[in-house]
Amino acid sequence: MSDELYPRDMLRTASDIRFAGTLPEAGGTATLDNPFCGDRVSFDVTLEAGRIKSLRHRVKACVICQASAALLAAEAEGRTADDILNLGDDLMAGLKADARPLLPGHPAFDLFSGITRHRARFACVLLPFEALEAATRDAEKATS
Amino acid sequence: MSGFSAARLRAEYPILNIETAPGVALHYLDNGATGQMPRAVLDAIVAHETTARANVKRSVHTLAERATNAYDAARDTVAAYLNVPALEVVFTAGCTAAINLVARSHGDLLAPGDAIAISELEHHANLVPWQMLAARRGLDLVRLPMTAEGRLDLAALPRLIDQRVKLVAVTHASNVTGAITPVAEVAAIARDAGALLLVDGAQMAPHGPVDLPALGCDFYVLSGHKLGAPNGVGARWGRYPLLDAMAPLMGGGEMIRTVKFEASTYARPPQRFEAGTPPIMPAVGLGAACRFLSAIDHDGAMAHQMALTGRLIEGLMRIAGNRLRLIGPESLDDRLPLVSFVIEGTHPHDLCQILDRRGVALRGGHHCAQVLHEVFGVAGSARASLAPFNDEGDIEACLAGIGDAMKVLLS
Ligand SMILES: Cc1ncc(COP(=O)(O)O)c(C=O)c1O
Repeated sequence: MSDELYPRDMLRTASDIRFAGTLPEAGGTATLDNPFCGDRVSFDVTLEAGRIKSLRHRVKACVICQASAALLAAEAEGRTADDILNLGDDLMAGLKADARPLLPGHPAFDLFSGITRHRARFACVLLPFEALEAATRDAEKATS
Repeated sequence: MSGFSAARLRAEYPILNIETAPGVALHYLDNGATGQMPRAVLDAIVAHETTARANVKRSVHTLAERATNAYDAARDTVAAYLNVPALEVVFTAGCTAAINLVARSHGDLLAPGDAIAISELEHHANLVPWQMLAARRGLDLVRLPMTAEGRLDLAALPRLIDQRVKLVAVTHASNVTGAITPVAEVAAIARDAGALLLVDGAQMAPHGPVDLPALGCDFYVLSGHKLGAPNGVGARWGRYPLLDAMAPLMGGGEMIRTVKFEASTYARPPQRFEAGTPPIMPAVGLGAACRFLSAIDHDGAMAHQMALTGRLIEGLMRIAGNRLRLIGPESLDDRLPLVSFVIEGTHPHDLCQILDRRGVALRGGHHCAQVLHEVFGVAGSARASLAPFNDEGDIEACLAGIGDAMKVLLS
C-alpha cells in the first residue's frame, strides 16, 4: 500500500541495515534520546584527519527516524562534525519551508517531503543528525 | 439501566463538532493528556471575564469583590469535590507544580538518611521532583515495584516501606496501564511505618468526585486541564497541620502576614502557598468543571466507558493478533477506561500519525513514564484514554485506523 507520508521507499530505507551495528574500534560514540517519545539513536564513528571514515548506528525509533539514520549514514563518509551540524540545519530549514529539494545536493532526503506539514515529526528526522554530530565531536575530543 | 447518555453528554462539548480535515470528524481519545472543555466551563469563564475580571484580595470595588468571591467559591467547590475543608486546598499551576511544592516545602523537613518510596508506575512529575529532593537533602529513594500486568505490587510494600521511609508517593491511577491503586491499603501500610502518603490524582480526579477522607492519604494533587478546566491551574490538598508546618516555596504578595524590610511573617495556609496574583479565571473554570463532573451519573458513565474499553481491547486482539502487546491489564476490573498497547513492528508515533487521518486522537510515546516502559521492555506505547462522552463511533474509527496503519507500516 503506498502512502504519502510513509511511501514504500521509506519503509525500504528504514530497513536498510548496511550501516547498522557497532564499531569495535570506534574513536567516538554518542547516544541521544528524543525526550518526547524515548526514541534512541546511537552512532559509533572513526575519524581520519577530522573526517568520518567509518560509522555504524543503532536505532530504536519510528520509521521516519530509522530512514533518516540510514540515509545519513550512507552520505556521511568524509564529513566533519560541522558538516553534519550544517546538514541538519539545512534540512530543518527545508522542512520548515517545504522546499524541493528538502536538502540541496541530497535528493534522497526528499523521501521526507510528506512530513513537512507535521511539525511534531521534524525531530524524528533530525535526531540522527544530532547523534552523529555528537559522536563525531566525541571522536574529535579523543584525538585532540 | 442508568440515566447516563453519552449522546446527551456529547452535545455539551462544542469541540466534538469540529472536523480535523474536510469531512473528517474528531474522535478524541486523548483525554488522559487533556480533558475537553464542556460548555458549562466555557460559559463560566466568559461570564467571569466579562463581569468580574479583577485582581483578588486587593481592591474594594465591585469587580474586585466579585473576583474575590468567585475565587473563594472555586476553592469551596474543589474542596467539596474532594470532600475536604477549603482551608486545606491550595491552588497551584497544575499537578506538577503541586508535587514540586510538596517536595520542596515538606521535603525540607526531612533529614539526611530518611527515605522516600516511589512506585515504578509514576509519571515523571511524581518521580523527578523526588529525585531532586533526594539529591538536595541526602535522602534515599525506595523503588516500589509493579506486577507483570502493571499494577502496584501491594505484596511487596510492607517489606519496602520501613521505618526509614518518611513519605510514600504513588499515583491514584496509572496514566499508562490504567490500573487503579487501592489507596486505602497503601495508606494503612504507610501509616504502620509512620510515613506520609502523597497520591497523584491527575488521572483519577477527572473521573468524578474523590472522597479523600476515605482514601486516608495525607496529600493529594490534581491538574485542572485534565478535568476540562483551563490550563494553568491545579490543586494540592494536604492535612491542615502538615500544611501549617510547611514553609512557603515562593515569596511575594498575598502570602504574607507582616512585611518588614529585614524579614516577613507568612499568612496561614492556603494563602501561604499562593504568592502573587493567582490563576483566577482558571480556578473559576476548575470550580465550574468540578460542578459539571459532579452532576454526571458516574456509575452509568463508568459502565459505558468500560463497555467501550472492552470493545477496544477485543478489537485490538482481533486486528493485531499476536502482534498485540497490552501495556497494562487485560481485565476490566479496577482500571480506568484507558488502554496502552504496542503493535509489534510498528512504532507508536507512526501508528498515531496514521490514526489522525481518520480524526482519531491517540497519544504515542512514553507518556512521561519512561521507568514503567523500561520495566515492560518497550520504548513507548500508543494510548487510547476515554471520557464519558466517547461512543461506539470513536472506538470503531480507532480500530479502523489501526487496520489502516498496519496495512501501511507492515506491508
Ligand atoms: C499521572 C500523572 N501525573 C502527573 C501529571 C502531570 O500533570 P501536569 O502536566 O498537568 O502538571 C500527569 C499528566 O500528564 C499524569 O498523567
